[in-house]
Amino acid sequence: MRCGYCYSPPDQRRDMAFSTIEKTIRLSTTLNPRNTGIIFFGGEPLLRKDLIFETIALCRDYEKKYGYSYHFKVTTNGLLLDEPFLRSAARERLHVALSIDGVDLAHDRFRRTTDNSGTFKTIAEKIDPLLYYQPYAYALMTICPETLEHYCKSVEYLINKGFRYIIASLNYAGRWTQVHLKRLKKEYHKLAELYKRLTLAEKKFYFSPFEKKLASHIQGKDALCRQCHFGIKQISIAPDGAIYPCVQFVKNNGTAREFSMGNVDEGIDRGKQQQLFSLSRQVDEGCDSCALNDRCEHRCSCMNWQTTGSIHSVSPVLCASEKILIPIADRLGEFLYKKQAPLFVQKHYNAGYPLISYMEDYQQ
Amino acid sequence: MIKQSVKKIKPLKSYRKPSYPGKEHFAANPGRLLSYVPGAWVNKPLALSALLAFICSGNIPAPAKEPLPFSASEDGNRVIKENTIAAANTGAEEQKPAPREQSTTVAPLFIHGTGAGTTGCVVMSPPVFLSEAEAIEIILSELKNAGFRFDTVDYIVPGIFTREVSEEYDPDWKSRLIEQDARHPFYFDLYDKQYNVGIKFISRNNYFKLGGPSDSSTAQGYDFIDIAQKTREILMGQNKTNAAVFYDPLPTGKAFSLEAIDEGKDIGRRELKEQVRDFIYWLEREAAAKIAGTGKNKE
Repeated sequence: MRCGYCYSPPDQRRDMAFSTIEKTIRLSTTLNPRNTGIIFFGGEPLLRKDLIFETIALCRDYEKKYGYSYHFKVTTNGLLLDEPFLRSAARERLHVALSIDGVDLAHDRFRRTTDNSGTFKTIAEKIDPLLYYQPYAYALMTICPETLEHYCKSVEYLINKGFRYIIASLNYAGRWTQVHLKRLKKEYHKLAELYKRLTLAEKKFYFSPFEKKLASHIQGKDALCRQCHFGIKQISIAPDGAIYPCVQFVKNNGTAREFSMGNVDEGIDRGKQQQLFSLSRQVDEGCDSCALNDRCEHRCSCMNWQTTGSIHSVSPVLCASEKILIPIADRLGEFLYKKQAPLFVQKHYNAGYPLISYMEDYQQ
Repeated sequence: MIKQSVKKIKPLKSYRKPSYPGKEHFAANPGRLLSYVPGAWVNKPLALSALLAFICSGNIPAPAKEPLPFSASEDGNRVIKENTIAAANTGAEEQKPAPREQSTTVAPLFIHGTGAGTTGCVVMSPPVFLSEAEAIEIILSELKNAGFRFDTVDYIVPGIFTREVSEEYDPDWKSRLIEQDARHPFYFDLYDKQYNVGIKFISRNNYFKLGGPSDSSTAQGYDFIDIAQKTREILMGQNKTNAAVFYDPLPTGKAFSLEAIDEGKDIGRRELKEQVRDFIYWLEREAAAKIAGTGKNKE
């Protein structure tokens, strides 16, 4: 595929060698082997399904031998999703996240093939089998200024198709104008109405922009620990074995080499890791004095780098969009709390909600 | 760098406090959650009982394990009842169990601190040990904060014994590990009856009883991670109790000084807390994964 908003457009295909995977897994045992999450990322990872399952087999071997624990995710454009893969993924508890931007007009605007045809029709046919095998599969949406008008419609479409987890991100690197921001506000209002309606009807779903903002008030400072810990909690390994603080720095053309912090042969360069982390903490001066400082996404260093060229300089679009989103999310929270909506309260105030929700589904 | 027509960051000077409450409102009184039961849960005993369990345990996820049968020993200490299963029919005699598949879980070892060091007259930077009492207090406190209720009564695990090991040298100075005859019963330092979880802390006190080699020289080396791993392996073979093993992180003091000891103790306390916090995190994830897995199998 050749998605118009890709932050790492492909020049030539580079597959990771299995020896690099082995070294990566060995490296993980020295970092956090008791609960390591491994995400297969591309390009398109399903081009090498064999490598994915070989990696999982290797990890299972480590689990048996040493008592470690791994969990797996893969992010895919969906073109190569098929029944055999989905069966194997379910068996291996490989969680699948599908990149889909919503309705056809939104999806086909940027998610196109090399011959410039839209992929919506093909992907839409894969949703049912995906959700049959993985009822909790994520839908990953990217919203651009050009597709903004379809935002609410797209979320509703995905929920109606059966997705329960919708992770929506704005493409901050897009060409946003004040007109777009007004449109964004309108879409968030429509989405808030949709959220209210579904929550009062006790339909279970997760829509990341509102959930995160509600949590940022309800959880207070605790919500901050879920934000980006640049290169500390999560690392990305490039096909050549170089270690980066985030997948967004893994570039085919090597333009982000300055952010490399070691390789799988020699391990993490702790000095570089600390240096990058310290740098990422130096947020713009304006943000420190902002009343929304603790509730804003401005700590995402990779996003900052993609949009401003500096890991600690915040995109003005992000600043503006957060100021639109947070008050709408708060009014939504106030409304649902006042209405004593049970699902809202359990979802946001009960730490055991995910587990109880699983049990409820299981009993169905 | 991307050119956009939205060009400036504009910090907000003030923002109103939202009128929906923070988590403290329900954390202070988890029972309030019972006033907000979704209609879909009402006819689902599994969901409802899980909700009650979370509320009773301080609203913190915990593993859903079926407890094994227990009985009280003559001296009043509770011990795990061996080789009995409840008879299906009232009045039926207890039966010998059929061989069971592995049904208990032993947590991985959570590595925080090297657990290694050497003491003796020639050692310039000896490690700083945590006392067993202090370590148990730290573990208990962390578990309590997460909503778990562990008893401090020692739980002896029947059928498990450990032996001391001494390191001896041949005339040609090759060392050999010699297992001693005396056996020591194995006991957990902490035990949670509800979830059948035992916890063992590897300390300087029990290091040798658990098979840590005693050196016949002027310096004594300690490798707590090695003994913790061996203890873990023993527990994996017993299939009676869910278990976790923690160890003294053993930070190395910089020199002989009271300040260095204080500093080392602080590091040791912090690293032990990290071990326990990782365990709690693992426990929550494990419980969720098990239940999710059960659902998948059924499907």
